[in-house]
Amino acid sequence: MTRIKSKFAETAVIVALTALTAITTILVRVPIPATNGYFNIGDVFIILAGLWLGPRAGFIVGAFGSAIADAVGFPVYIPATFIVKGFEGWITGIIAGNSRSGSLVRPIIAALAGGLSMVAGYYLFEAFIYPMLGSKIPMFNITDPGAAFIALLPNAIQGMSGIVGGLALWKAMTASSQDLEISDDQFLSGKHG
Amino acid sequence: MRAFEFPAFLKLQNLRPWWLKMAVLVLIGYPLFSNRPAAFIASAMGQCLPETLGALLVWPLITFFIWACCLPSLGTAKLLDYLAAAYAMAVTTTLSGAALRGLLPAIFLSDPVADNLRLMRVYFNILAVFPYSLTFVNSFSVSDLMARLTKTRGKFRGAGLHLALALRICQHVGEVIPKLLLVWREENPELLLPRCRDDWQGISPLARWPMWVVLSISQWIFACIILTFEPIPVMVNEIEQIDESGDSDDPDKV
Amino acid sequence: MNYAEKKINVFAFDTYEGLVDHFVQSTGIFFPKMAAGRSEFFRAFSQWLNRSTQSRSRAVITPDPAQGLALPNALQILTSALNQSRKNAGTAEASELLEKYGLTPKILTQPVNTLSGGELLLLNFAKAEAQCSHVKGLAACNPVFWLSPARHKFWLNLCDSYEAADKNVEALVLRGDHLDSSSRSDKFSSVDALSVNLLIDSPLVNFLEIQFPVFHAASKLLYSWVSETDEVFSPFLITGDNGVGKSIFARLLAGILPISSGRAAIMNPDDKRTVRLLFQEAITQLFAMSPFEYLGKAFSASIALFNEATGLFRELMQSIYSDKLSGDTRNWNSLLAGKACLIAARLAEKPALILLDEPGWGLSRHDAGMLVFHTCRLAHQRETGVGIISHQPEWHDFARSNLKLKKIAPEQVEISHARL
Repeated sequence: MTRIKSKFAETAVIVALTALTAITTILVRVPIPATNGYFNIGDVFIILAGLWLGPRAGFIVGAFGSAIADAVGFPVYIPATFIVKGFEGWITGIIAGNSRSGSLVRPIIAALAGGLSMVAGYYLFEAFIYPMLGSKIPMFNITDPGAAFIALLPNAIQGMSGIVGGLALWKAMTASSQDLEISDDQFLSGKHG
Repeated sequence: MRAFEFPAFLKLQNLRPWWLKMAVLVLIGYPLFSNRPAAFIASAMGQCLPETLGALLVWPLITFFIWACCLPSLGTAKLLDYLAAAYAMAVTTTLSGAALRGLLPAIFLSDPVADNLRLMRVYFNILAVFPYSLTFVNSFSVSDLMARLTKTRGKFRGAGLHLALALRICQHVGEVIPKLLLVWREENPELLLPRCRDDWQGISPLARWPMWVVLSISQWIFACIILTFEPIPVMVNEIEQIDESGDSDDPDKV
Repeated sequence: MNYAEKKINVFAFDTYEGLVDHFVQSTGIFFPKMAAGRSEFFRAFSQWLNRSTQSRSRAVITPDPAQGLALPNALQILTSALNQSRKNAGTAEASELLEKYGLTPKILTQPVNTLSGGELLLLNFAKAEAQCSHVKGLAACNPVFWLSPARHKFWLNLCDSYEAADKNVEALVLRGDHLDSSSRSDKFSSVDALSVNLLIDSPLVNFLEIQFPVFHAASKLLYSWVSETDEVFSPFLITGDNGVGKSIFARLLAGILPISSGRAAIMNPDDKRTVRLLFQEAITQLFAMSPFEYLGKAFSASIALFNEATGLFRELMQSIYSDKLSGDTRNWNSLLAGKACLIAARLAEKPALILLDEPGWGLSRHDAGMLVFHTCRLAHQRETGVGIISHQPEWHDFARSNLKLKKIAPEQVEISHARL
């Protein structure tokens, strides 16, 4: 996990990842008509945020980035997405912890847990919670257990692509930044790249 | 064909102040938030129509009402676009629900009439919820709301600076992605196929296309991240400068 | 004007990378290099994240004028800058500053990202003036590149303000820029003209309203061709004032913006030949890859074209460097190499026309001239026309035709053609 010393830099990076999650989710949408939902690649950034910046950032990026995307076209899913995707980023960050040993085992387990929690979370909402809510609030009456069952496959593919993409991105971003503690003199002497 | 333009006063996005707009939108969407309007209409219709027919007609009526309210704000073309997507989703959701009912009878209700009515309700709900939710979202400007919150002076100056920086980064991301889309279109006019594919003869596209797609997705993700992160250091420097000037009484510190 | 008389230090660089290096060392502000590829970028960015502070003794104008503006609109930018020196500034003071730098107060609350390049640079000037009393000096990159000559006076106004406050001004420019008194008076070599027939039949482009994440109102732009002949001569220049719609016209010709009615294309007996475009922000077209990584990806499904493009890239670079008078070492991961690589990739496909949008941005005048000259030479060998989109006057002598864009109504642009 990278520790960012400047609070504004942390805000900027988290917001950038949140905005990227929202916009890529909006633009790269493959609808799953069965559940009135859609497949997207936003999970890559959620897993990345959890692995790279920890559970807090993972939660913010997952919950807000994806919920903002749902606001454009699928607002009914905002509550489910906020909880499921927020949890995905959080659990990834929690399990990944401060793994600086160079071993990939913990990050892989963390990403797998994040992806699986997303698939399980959406199934729970689509198969049980929304149909239950729908009996009281008609707006939520848009899915049923059969449709949720069908959505398991695309959700699993989405989770898998998020795991693979997030891990690859995290590896690329951290591979060349070992021993990051450098002085300002070193930084200004042209070793900044 | 020239689209019919509705008068401005009928468009919900022009309603001011914001709380009145919110109240009107909630009122329009009330049949989607509560079962009471549907129950009331069904019982009223039940007095002159057979019970099942009344229950069947209530949801189309509500759906038409929602469409009528959304039409002036969205315009004919946009409403039809949204409805095209909504119809596709509604048909496939109900069909998959019906098919799965046959395959996995255990997870469905035992009463076939109630089950059919429920599927009909799901169908019309999707047709109503889709345009309504988009009208709701389109009626408020995210930028305006954020701009109101991002005051860089006063009691909550620190939080305001964080919010202002957040809005600026969102603006930047909002520029990066459309720019990348244009660049991508210039490079790959067919979007999902490479522009130059001389070596893709015979059966090879089947094997090579998925690889090209996976490579392209990774390329997109990296480009999005790098172009988004590029201005962050300069912007953060600027905000820290403003923040420190507020923290200190010594102007030379800046 | 003589900059030596004023307290302005002009530093001229042969390369964009040299300019950025100096900017980083001089201001302490990290500025990532884009053409070096993704791993280099991530390494540098991670290092920056782990640093605690940055130096903040100067006002800065960054190479891309949008990047130094960290607040969402001009009002916030200017009042924050003014309030750093304990002035209780508000809308009136901010408006006054904008007007001093030739901008209308109407833009005060407009999102920064809806302003043009020239407006962004002038807003940077206004911000730098607001910071003048509490900073040690000003470091400005390419301070007049985006401005038409009539607007250069605003840069001089800013310099006067810093001079009056006895503050130091550093102008970092690329060699040959208007501020660079040491520049060689390079005359671009000319190439033989190539006839190109354009088909411009009142193309209309409609921009849809975008509400998320940033609002853009719906608008439209209609182009009308007022020349008697469709024949233009390559290399031709597409010119006009800031914001007239030059880049949009280029995108219409390249077929990447949909046309609602009418037509904008090149008359082309072989329909397979296309129009290709090098964007103003050409670095974006590398898609976060180094030049060789880009060629590998662009031609992953065509080995013959990959070899052709690689050969053209090498030839272009060798031609530029063999003509180069200064002793620069060849850098394959520079902005110049990035542009050469993108041009080579496009030429390899033998398009009917290649359009270069502000090809001189980020290059010294010499490098820009060489790049465009050799591009035209190689393009004409392949019967490919070249169009240059620019408001810089130096291309006028080089081009063989001039397409001048002029706004005749808020949503209507007239294109006139003149043989040069």
